[in-house]
Amino acid sequence: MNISTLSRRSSVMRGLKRRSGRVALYGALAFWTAVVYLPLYWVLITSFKAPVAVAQGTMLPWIDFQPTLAAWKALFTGIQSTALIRAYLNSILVSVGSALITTFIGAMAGYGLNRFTYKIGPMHNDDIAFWFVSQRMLPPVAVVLAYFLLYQNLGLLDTRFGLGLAYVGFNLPLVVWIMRDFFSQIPKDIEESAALDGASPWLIYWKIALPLAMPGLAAAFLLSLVFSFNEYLFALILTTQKAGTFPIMLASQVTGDSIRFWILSALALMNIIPAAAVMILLEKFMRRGLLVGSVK
Amino acid sequence: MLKYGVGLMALSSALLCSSSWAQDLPFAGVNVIVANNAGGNSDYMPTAVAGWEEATGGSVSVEPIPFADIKEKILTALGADTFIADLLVVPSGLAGDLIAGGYVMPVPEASIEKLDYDDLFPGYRKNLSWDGVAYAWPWDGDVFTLNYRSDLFENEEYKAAFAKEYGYDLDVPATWKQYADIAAFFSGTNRGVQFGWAEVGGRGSGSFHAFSARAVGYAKAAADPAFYFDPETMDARIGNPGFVKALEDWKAALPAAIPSVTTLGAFETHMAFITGQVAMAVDWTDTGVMGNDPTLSTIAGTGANAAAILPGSDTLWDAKANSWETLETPNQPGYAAFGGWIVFIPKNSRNPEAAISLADHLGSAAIMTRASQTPNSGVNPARISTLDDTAGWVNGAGFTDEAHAVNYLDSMRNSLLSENLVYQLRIPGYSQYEEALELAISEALTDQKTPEQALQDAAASWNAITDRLGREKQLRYYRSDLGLSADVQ
Amino acid sequence: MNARKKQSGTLFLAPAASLMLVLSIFPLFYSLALTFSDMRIAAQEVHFVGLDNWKRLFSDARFGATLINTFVFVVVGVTAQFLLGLALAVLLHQEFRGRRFFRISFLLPMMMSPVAISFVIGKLLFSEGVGPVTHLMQALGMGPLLWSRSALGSTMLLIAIDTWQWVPLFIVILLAGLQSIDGEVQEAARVDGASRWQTFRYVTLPLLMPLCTVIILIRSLEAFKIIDIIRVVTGGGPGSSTESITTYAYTMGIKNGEIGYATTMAYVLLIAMTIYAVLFLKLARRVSNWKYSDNTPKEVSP
Repeated sequence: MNISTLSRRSSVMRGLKRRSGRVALYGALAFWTAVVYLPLYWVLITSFKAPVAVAQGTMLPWIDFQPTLAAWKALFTGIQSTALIRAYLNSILVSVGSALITTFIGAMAGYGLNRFTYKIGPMHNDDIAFWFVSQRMLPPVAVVLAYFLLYQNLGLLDTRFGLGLAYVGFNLPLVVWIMRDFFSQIPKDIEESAALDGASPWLIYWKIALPLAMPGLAAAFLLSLVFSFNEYLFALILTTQKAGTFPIMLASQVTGDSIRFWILSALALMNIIPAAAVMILLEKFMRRGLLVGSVK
Repeated sequence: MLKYGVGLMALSSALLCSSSWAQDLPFAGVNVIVANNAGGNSDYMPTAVAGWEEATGGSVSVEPIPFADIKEKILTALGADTFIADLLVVPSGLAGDLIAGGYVMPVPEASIEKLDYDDLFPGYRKNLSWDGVAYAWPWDGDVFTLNYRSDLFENEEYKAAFAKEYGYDLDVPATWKQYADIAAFFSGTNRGVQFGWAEVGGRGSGSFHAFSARAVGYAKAAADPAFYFDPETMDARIGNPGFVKALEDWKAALPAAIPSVTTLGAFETHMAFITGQVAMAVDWTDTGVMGNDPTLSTIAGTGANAAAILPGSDTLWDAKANSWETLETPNQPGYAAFGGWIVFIPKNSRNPEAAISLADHLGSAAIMTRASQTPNSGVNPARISTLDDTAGWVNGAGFTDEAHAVNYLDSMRNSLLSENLVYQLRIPGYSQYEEALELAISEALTDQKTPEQALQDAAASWNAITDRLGREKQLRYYRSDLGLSADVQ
Repeated sequence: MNARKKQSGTLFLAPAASLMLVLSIFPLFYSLALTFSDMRIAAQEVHFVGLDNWKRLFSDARFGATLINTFVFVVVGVTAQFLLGLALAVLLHQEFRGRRFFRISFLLPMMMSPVAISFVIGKLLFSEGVGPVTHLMQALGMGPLLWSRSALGSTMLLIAIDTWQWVPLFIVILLAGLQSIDGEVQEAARVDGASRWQTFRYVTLPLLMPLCTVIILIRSLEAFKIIDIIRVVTGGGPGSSTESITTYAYTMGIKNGEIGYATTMAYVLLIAMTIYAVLFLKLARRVSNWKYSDNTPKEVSP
């Protein structure tokens, strides 16, 4: 066996290996795509089903059931439509607004906790970070009454501002923790040289650290948005007519004598739209991290 | 919030200066906020109040609250004296908490005269008051009946096969034993349906009612007004042999049920019956009207959705004598599960006069009858006169003919006028009792405990709840609920 | 450390810390006070009851069971989510055609309302009477899938729904983490002859470990509070075998109105979570050999 056949064989092997790698990759992706889309498919077809078709568990439009727009019509032209649109806008406003604020101040705190040394009483950086995350440990059911009384006294009941403020409080711990870690991944040498050139800490943060942490920032924003958008218990107790949110509309489809699966499904699809839109917008920022190497 | 009549409101306020108009329209410019069950009930509310808005110049805004959270939403607000609505439409089970908390105003004398309380079924009339004082306006009633497929029951081939197999004729079951036989006969045998029966067996979805509907036959003696508790000591009776037998028979019938029965809620039960999956369903009477709606039902227009009073038992546990009694004719009491949605006006209502006027309107016989004949209104009959309007039911609720409607109306009438009818328990802390019993039911039906063990544990939980809430106080409420004198003789 | 640096450091932390403090201090102490009271929803009067709620809790067998159920949800569920999320994040980090489609698709479940998805998966897809999963199993001759009467089946279904929904959380964070990791180190390792797996195991994974720790912890804290899917899919059944601490506290506090008792449960959950978090961080540090304090900055020396 000479050297040339050996190398040829090894290159064939490598090609085979690469091809089987591709097959495995696409196989795994296809499997998970099926896992993700089966329930979503069910949501989609359910929103076009008549109640009978839902109860019978039919699977294929036009083949075993006749699709209908009844649920969507009921949503947009029915008696709930005004309330629905208001609730949708409230949810978008409250969740986007609170996610922006949370990400903004949460990222600052995450950066601070990574780059500076603090000492508040007996608490050092790690303790402060742990204190932040511990604020997400009490289940909402334990604090909702306290919030109700607090907001009653502050006149914040049934206001979008009040609800958004509560959501900032909920999500800050997540953002602080996530961002603290993302900043620790970023090499400090650029910041150090900028500091030597006399740049202020704020300028360094804003112009150097923050852009490099873009993937983390985008992820943290997305998480805050999703958590706020789907929050139910606080929205239920803290709002009435004006500031009611989308999850309340969703829950309202389950009445004493009916579960309106078809409307619930239509609402569930509407529920995805804001976060999905934000995600598509942010997707390119999530890749920005690839530039880290080239900046250096 | 649904704002309609806004234009009318603006118009009316503009005209307020003219006294003659103001007299004709006593509530011109007044907006009454109604808190209501989101979905069916709140969607129907605009139709129900249209006449009142026109007649008084007032307007109505609906504040829909998700069904599962009505209690905490309303009690949290009222407990902190925060305004929630001018008028509340709530489950009658909430009455105890609302009245005991002192959050609601009594019904004025003038309204009582207008409302013709004598036309209400006796239990519902009682439902509206505490200790002889009326606090609530009528609106809705709820009762459990047996739904069965008359087409299958009348099929000659099935009748012959059933008689041969079981030694008696296939007919509407009078006992839960017969119900189990019929279910087994139809289940998995390709006789027109897949499964024998469906009931609201889900924990947290109404299994308290499905079980109560069975237990009344075994454990409710006509001579004894009490059912769940001993009316002298407030000791729980749910661990007694009558209740245990009811649960054992229920469990034994499980193989013939739709497989998901231990998680089933009301809607899924309705749908299982009216989409032709089961031969029988023990359920609220909504099933009858929904079965006539072709968008919901595969048996609409066939007249095959028939109803009857609940099955019962030919052995009865006498809690007083502590012994079984064998009966010639089965004991078949009705069970008024849930007890209906009723109307309260909170003391912190901002427009009490307009709210009273609106409540009078909703509680009138004409409006209540029309509401209960409208499919998907979420309203069921609470007045005797409502069941007499057969033509209205045939026209309004889609029954195939008069006989079909009469079968449905009779099932309700027989249940609600049965002298041994058991009503929705409505003492304070009801939801705690309900929760403890539903846990026991779930444990027994899924083989985690024997029915006897599960129910005896639940009875111990009930006694603990009673002690925690104050035995004396609870006893007083329970006796008042039964219409007994407040003090133990 | 110079004064200016210290001052600007304070400015970075102050907004978040002060907001957090303002928002949390009243609820925290109010709730703590409630655990010593017989507070009920809509109660006319509230009494101080000392340690009654705490005593009742420790003799409440059902609470012990919910504690165990909750740990099962957290440990099994979060482990599954982490492993799947990590694997998928690594896959999505590769260069291949259609990557953008998969990246967006895989994140969609997280955006669904938990309530809606519980209804659709738990009540429709897995319906034991008419669900497609049942049909499929019957077609394969396996008989109907009766999950609702078995504690294991119900628990597995709940974990499956939770996993379906929250794998994306791991994907989004770990993918962002992979993107942020300096590619040069991996390249160097590859040039030195390390296999893909070795590069991943000995270079990428250690770099990703701190982020894994953070996200596992965050997801665990959420999983401890699991409530919506249980309420919708099993109602805590069969028996109380899928009841979590939060659903039990919800039933007791919100449904039954015993706010004082429910808040006591929530406090026990808080303590359990704190212990879990501390132990987990310790363990994670040992596993990854990642010194926690490395995460805090060294002094920038001019």
